[in-house]
Amino acid sequence: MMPCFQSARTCRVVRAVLAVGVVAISACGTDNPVDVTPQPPKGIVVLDGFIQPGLTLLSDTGAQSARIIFGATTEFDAGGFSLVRDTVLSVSSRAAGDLLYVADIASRAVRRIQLPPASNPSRARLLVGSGGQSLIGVALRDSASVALVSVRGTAVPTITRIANAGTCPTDVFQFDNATWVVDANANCRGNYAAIGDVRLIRIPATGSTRDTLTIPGMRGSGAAAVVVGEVAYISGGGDANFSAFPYTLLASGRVAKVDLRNRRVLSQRSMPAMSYGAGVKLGGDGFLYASLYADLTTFKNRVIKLRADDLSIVTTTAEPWMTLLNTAGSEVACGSAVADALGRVHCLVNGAASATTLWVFDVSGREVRRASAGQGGVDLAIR
Amino acid sequence: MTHAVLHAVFIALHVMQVERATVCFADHYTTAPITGTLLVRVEDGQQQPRSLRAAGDCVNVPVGAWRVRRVGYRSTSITLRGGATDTVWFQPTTSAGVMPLTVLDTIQARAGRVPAAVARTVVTVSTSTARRAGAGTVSQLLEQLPYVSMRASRGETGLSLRGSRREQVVVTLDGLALNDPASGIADVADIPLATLSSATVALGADPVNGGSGAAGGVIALTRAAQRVMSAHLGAFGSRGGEAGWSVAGGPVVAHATVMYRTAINDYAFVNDAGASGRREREERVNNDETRAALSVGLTADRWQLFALASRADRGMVGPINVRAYDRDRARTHRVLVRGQAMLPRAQVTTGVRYFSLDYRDPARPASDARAESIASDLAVQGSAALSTRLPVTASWRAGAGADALRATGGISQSRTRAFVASQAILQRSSWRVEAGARADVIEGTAAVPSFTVAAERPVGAGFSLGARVAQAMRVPTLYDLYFSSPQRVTVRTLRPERVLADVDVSAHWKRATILGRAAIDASLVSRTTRDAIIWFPGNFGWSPANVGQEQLQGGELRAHLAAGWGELSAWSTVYDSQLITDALRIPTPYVARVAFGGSAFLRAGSLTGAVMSRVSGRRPFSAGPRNAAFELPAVALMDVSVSHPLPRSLQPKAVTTSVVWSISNVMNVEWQSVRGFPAARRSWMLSFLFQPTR
Repeated sequence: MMPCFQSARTCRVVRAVLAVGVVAISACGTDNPVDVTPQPPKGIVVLDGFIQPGLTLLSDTGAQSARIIFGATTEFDAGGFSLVRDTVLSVSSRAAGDLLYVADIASRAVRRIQLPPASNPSRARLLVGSGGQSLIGVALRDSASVALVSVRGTAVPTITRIANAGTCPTDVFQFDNATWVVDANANCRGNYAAIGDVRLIRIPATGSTRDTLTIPGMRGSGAAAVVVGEVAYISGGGDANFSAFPYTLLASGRVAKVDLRNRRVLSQRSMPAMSYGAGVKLGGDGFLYASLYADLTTFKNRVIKLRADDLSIVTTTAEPWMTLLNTAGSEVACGSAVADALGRVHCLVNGAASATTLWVFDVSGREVRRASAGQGGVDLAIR
Repeated sequence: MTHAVLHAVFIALHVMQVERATVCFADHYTTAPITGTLLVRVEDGQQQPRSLRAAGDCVNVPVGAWRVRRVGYRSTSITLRGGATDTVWFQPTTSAGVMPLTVLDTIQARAGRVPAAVARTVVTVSTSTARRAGAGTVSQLLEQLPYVSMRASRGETGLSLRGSRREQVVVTLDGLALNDPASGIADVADIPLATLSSATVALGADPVNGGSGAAGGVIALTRAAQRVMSAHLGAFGSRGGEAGWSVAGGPVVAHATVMYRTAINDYAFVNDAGASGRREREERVNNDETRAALSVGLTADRWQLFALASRADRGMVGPINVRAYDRDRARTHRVLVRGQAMLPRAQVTTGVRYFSLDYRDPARPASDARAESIASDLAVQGSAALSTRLPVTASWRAGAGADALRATGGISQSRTRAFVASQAILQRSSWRVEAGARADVIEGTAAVPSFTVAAERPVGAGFSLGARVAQAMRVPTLYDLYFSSPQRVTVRTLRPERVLADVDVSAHWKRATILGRAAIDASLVSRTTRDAIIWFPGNFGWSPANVGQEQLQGGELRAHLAAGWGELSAWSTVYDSQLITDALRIPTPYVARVAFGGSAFLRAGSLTGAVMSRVSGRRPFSAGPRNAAFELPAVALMDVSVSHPLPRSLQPKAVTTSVVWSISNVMNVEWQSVRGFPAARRSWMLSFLFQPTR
């Protein structure tokens, strides 16, 4: 259920229109995504995490953009967000007020929900609600718990917590009547140093015994999950010592494919040697796209394309990363990459004064579009 | 024994019979009274061994011819007549007339004389005037300067002049820059007010006197060998005191000050950044501060030494909606040592500054950090009349220094620097022309030359017109260099920030009217800065880069009226200051397009009333394009104070005691100096000032 931020009357009208629309679409048989011919995106959502935090909304063509303001940098500091239909979820950490942001792209409405003090949220996901309520799961790193935020209209949300959800929960999702927590297993209350391997913790809704699935060798204080059916792709960015120069890489990032039904790790893919990070997104073309830094010296942005079935790297050169070229033939280093259903790779580059540019490359890695996308862009999603 | 007593009585009677006169000493440019002057009796062309040193700024001596000398100033001869009171206006030895390159030990200044700057807006406020208007700290003294925009978040102060960023303002103490080489910012909060005689604001780029960083202007603090003691008590647990004393002992005048100040600062504020969407009333926590400082100064005939040490403990409160810093603490130590010695044709100044910061996060000890920086300076300076035909006075200055930084995480940086500067003033017929040049060489950077040219000419009826063009440069700070290092983000070589031209066209009017001495200064200004060093988020953290071009256009206006009944002053600035890079137009954070200020000092007998007001338009607080959602609202603030002496029956012997009642933010306005950091609403303070009766 999409949260409603308008007046009750407006909400009723919107819901009625949406209901009619859903019925009409179902009647046309276009609700089966498997049979749909790949379509260009409805739009691109860029999260501006710094300077003037908020969302920059772009369409698939043209230079026009619109903004949704989140607030000052003291009130928002997230590096990522989740997008489900028109709902954007994001959080600000303990250093920016422990807030949950719920934005409705269609109405441009933003709602801020206060999470418990010093909970240091990591990610928020839309879960399956009940009784007409939207349910949002938020991984709380400092309190080692998961907040379940129930939202109904403009009423004051209710927050319940699942305690003892690992050492440092960084992501949460639902599968098979259970809440699954990605535990980064790191010292998130302090310096975010890895304590052990990343884990998946299954917390059944029925209250029966919890299961913990360790992902061998995976480290990363920002571990996250992408869930596709009964499979979860877990990514850990690796571990490094940033407390002294020169920075020391302790472990590169990894991506793991996990069979949720049978609770086992199917396969893993290590990111290239010397690289750091592994921000994984599922492209509309069915491939996984991992954004990372080539090394800890230049911090050059790189993108790796992975096959979802066996996590093998898709590349046309000897290098593991994608070669993305501008119209002049020069390589473009960009981050937060993901492909649309047409296989076009969208990614972000922050230039002078952190001005953000959205770059779009065709399946061969050639530039097809370049558009201004706000300032301080840190993440993007395709609608 | 009896013989000795008789001899003493004889001398005393003899002295009583000798005609005497009072002579006072003051700085020609700042009008700051000067202590420690050596007077040598001259009789029949012979220097007699009889000499005396003035502990205060005035001294009562036998009439006749005297040679007066003071370190840092040109020696001169005076002839005193019986019963008269004269003032000797000392000319600094090395200043060609704009900003004194060396300002020395002084006692309480008397404001009101505008320094003889060429086509430049320069205003001085004395500590005594500021105290009567309720100032108890140096930060509050600076708030009373026109054109100065101040902001503070966690106890530290940041200053902006002429639409500049805070690292583009150089603050000097007796000519020695106080800016931290690590951050580029001068925090004056730890300097005891009892140490100072005055604060002068000089608008505009000043490469010759300010050196690196003086893009927006210079704030010059001058010291004072005051005999004063003050104590205050105020709202939010504010209390403290300072004391300064000077004595003449043999060949030197010694001066010392101590300061202790503490405040809980647990004031109420409205949290409008929470999630509820409502404006919720809360109380500030972990916002306390305690500061202590000690300074010692020695002034002799041909040298002087000054040392200041301070310590500040602060709660590092977070923004209004953030509770993560409710236990974080910071301790700052600062040590400053400055020496000066006269040579036959020049003088040498040297200074060492040490800064340390300890940050403690009890909840996350891994975040604890310590940083230490040190800066040392050595300069030689002199002046000469270039020609007997042309009335040209030129000063020169050359110096070298080194900066170093050491911080948690194995950070260690250092660099050396050197400069040479010269300045000349030509005064012919009604024209006054000033020209200056400076070249800075910083380790790792090519030599950067900067120039300044100014001219001023009276056009009648108290009017004068002037024009000034100046350049400036700001080398990357040590933090800039550290965070731009390849290990941090991407390979970025930082170039010095360069003010290509700070152009100022001004009109000045000064006249005695039936209401008093009136003056109006108006300027149109334009400043272009290339390679501005700005911090923006990179792809791994915030880091500095040379970004685009900064452009400022605007105007400044000030009117001042002074008479026996008091003073009225009003000023206004209109600035459009923005960074231009590709398609982005980014207004300089915290610079309002329009700002006003005003002050009124009214004297009635021994009673003085002061009203200070400050109005600021909307201020952007992000480094992004202008957007109303990222601007602080306009704010109008007013402070009121009344000072009066204690009733005679309560006055201690030989001490003049003044009482100052002051209320800050009389209108009880809710406002934020820095986004997320609410300032106190209405507050009160009661101050007592004790000074020995002359």
